[in-house]
Amino acid sequence: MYFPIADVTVSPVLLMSVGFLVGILGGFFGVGGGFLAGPMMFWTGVPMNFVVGTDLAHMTGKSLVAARRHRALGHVDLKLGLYMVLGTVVGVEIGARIIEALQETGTIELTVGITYIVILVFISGFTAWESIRAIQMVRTDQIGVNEAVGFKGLAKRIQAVNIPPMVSFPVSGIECISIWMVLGVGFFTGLLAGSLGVGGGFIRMPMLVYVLGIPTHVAVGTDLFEIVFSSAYGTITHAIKGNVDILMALVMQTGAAIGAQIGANATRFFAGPRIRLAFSVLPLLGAIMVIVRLVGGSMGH
Amino acid sequence: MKRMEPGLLFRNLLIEIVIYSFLIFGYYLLVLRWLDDWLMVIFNTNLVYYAIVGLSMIFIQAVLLDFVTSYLMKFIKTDQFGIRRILDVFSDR
Repeated sequence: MYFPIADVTVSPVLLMSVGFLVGILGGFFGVGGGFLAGPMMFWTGVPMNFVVGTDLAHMTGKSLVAARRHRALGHVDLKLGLYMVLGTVVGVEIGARIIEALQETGTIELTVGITYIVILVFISGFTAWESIRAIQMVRTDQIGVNEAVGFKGLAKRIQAVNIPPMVSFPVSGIECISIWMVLGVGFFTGLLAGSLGVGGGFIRMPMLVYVLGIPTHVAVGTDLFEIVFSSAYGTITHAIKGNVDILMALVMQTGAAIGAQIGANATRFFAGPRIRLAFSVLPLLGAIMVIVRLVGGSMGH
Repeated sequence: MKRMEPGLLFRNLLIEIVIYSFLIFGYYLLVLRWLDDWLMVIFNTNLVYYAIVGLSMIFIQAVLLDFVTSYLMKFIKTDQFGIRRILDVFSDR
């Protein structure tokens, strides 16, 4: 099929398949999937300037489908998601400006790449360690599989911080928490996403679980809810610059919609520790993608 | 729930994917392939309008596909075979 806006011919079946695969991962883990869809689109021949914008457009629709499904399952904390969006938007903007300022130094690509790899490898290792510990706790301590978290100390301390105004998140089971902690987590994840280019979901989902103490299923659903806003914002800014092929995004979305439904529904059959253990592989894949990009030098921001 | 043989499970999953694929292929033939000229005109005349129209189309299609896929999953009773059964094999619940 010929896509006149991107001026490229790509098989729609291939695009739908990419969407389907990324949709399953996104629906199950609460990530946008840009780390996987981007390179795959580039590999199919889509010009690099259209890869990021078009991926964001398809991500918006896919995350909406997955978030709606998670909402039906009771896995979306709308109030928490909206607070997080506020912090994230500010963080993304400041992160992007920091990058612009640092670009004058010349070595920004390597510095950002190495920082990103270190963060992703740390998240991957930590999530794997914690989830294995949680699974062992379930076996030995006879505690409920959904409540099992191998690292609760930080979330307890954060929830104990008493800086008004205080808010409650009944859907997430949080009776009282300082709004500044929630905004701070949103800001921090936005700052990293804005300065590192991609990877909001990679960082946000574990932070929701380990820093704020949100149950894994709610963290996945709420993360997707937030991705709808952040990717829609990204789609608009990229489309105005002429870097989005909407038709291509619509074709990808047809596969992604089905994949997102399957991925979101699949979370019903797995407890939190198993989801986190499987999730731990994703940041590692993201790190490998960054290493390939740095070595190859062909896929810049 | 009674567990099924893995081979049978994947066969049922394949049937479900084929049904989805036929529907999406029909949608592609009837709707998507006719949009290119219209979108190209908007893209070349006003990028702000293109961005707003594009995002609106993404949202509308997402909601429509959500309804279609949700209905299909109920219609073909995935709770009794296919994807549901495969998940049951790997499930820890």
